[in-house]
Amino acid sequence: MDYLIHLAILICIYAILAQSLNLVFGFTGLFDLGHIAFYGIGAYTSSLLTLTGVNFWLAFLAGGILAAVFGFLLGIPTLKLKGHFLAIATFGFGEIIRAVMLNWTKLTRGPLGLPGIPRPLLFGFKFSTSLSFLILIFAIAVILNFIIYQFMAKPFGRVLKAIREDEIAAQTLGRNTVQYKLIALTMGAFFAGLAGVFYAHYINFIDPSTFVLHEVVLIFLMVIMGGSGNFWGTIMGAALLVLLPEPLRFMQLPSSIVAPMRQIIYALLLIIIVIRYPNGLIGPRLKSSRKTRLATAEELALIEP
Amino acid sequence: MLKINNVSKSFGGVRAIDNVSFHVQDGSITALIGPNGAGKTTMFNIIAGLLEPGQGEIIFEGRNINRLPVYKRARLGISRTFQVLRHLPELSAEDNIILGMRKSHESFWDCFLPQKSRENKLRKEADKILRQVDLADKKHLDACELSYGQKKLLEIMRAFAQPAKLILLDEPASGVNPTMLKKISALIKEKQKAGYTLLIIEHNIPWVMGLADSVVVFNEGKKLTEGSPKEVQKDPRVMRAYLGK
Repeated sequence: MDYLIHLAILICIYAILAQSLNLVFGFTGLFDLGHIAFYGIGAYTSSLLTLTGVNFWLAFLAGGILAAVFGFLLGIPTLKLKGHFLAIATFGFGEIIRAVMLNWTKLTRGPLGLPGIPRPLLFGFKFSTSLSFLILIFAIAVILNFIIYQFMAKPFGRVLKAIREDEIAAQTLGRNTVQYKLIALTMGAFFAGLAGVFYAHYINFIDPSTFVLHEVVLIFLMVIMGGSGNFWGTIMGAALLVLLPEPLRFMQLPSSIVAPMRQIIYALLLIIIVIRYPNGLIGPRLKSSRKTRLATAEELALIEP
Repeated sequence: MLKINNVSKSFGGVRAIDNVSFHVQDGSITALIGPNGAGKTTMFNIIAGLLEPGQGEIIFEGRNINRLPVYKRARLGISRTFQVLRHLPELSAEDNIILGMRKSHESFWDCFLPQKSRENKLRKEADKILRQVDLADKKHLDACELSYGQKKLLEIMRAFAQPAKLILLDEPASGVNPTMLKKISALIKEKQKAGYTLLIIEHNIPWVMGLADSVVVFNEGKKLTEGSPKEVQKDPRVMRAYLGK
């Protein structure tokens, strides 16, 4: 039973994290390979604060806000970059954050990680059992997903989609696209930070090895599998990918094999989905091939003499 | 409305636009014609702000807009279509038009306010606009699912839907069937009557000559001549540019 609750909690946390990436990547089309860094910033911020005695909910907000500040600061220089250059820049950002976590040992204890992160406290009630934590994180996941849904479903989200589809067209229609992209990235960072907070306070221990590239692959996979830009698809993608490698546990394999196996499965899945189902497994299968669209949308009228 | 003063633009060593000047009169339909590679679309991109002119100035309603970014020029009242279509493929035809209208409340804070009644009103307006080109029954389809001609019409209607003063149309007649072409002519004339100014790049010479008040002819990056359609058609240099020697 505890094992199932554990999986359900992970699904909730990933549903927030993946949905935040869905806002940034699936909706706005920003290739943010450093997204996991925001998750890490949220986790470290609230852990360090609560370990020095700060109230959990204050630390929770601080985690989100600091992640958002980093998102904003990262966005200012990078959002003028196009597709793959943005991916490289954000990837670099993710590596910098990980290097800081690893090397600022006075603050983060480096590779030793931070143990003893307390469980959340609300009106004197401590969410120390798995079940109580599940109820809390489920409520939080519903609320945060609902808020993200507001961004997607309102006219604001339509502009984000327009930017994803064709940024120059969106500019020609009078939209300040850089500003919209900046808001999307900042918001995405904020929600990823909040997800990171709950991860830290659930596992009670964090170290830099959680916030690495293969974790980025995992959340991208969740979003892409759900059909990029598809709200419910992303949630289902999160659930599916948390559960997918679990049968490995029951095969009685040594853990030195299981861990790399998980990564291989995820990586293979990513390759298969990108080639065979570029529009996702869960989301509506779209009619246009993304390949042709990218080819025309990139340079275009600028080339025409 | 629009004044182009001594504009030049080079790509590397190629001079795509060479010291070109012309004016677009308020409320007129001006045609921009010339052989392929004459620099017409480059001129459009300079006017809309996608390209910076190497030299010269773009004056829109008495204001130098050389340094304004694309979106600000759009807000000042310049709308355009593209030769290579730039519909938003995975947005519905309806959403394409609504984005053009620029009437929805799209700021960050508006996400926390109800928008339904306003959106419904905009949907009705978009329906009316799409009805004019027989696309109303396809409004829920993604733009990428439409045929080439329909996409073209969608883009033209999106440009028309914008709160603009000057509308730039890049080859509106190409790939459109004769019945629709008549429809487009009617829509363009209607827009002119409503006080809009139009600048049209077109290769369908008979069609655009019947529509335009004045014609500017480009050849090899230079302005060859300009005048009324009649004057231009008689000009032997125009014949030569189009037909070779």
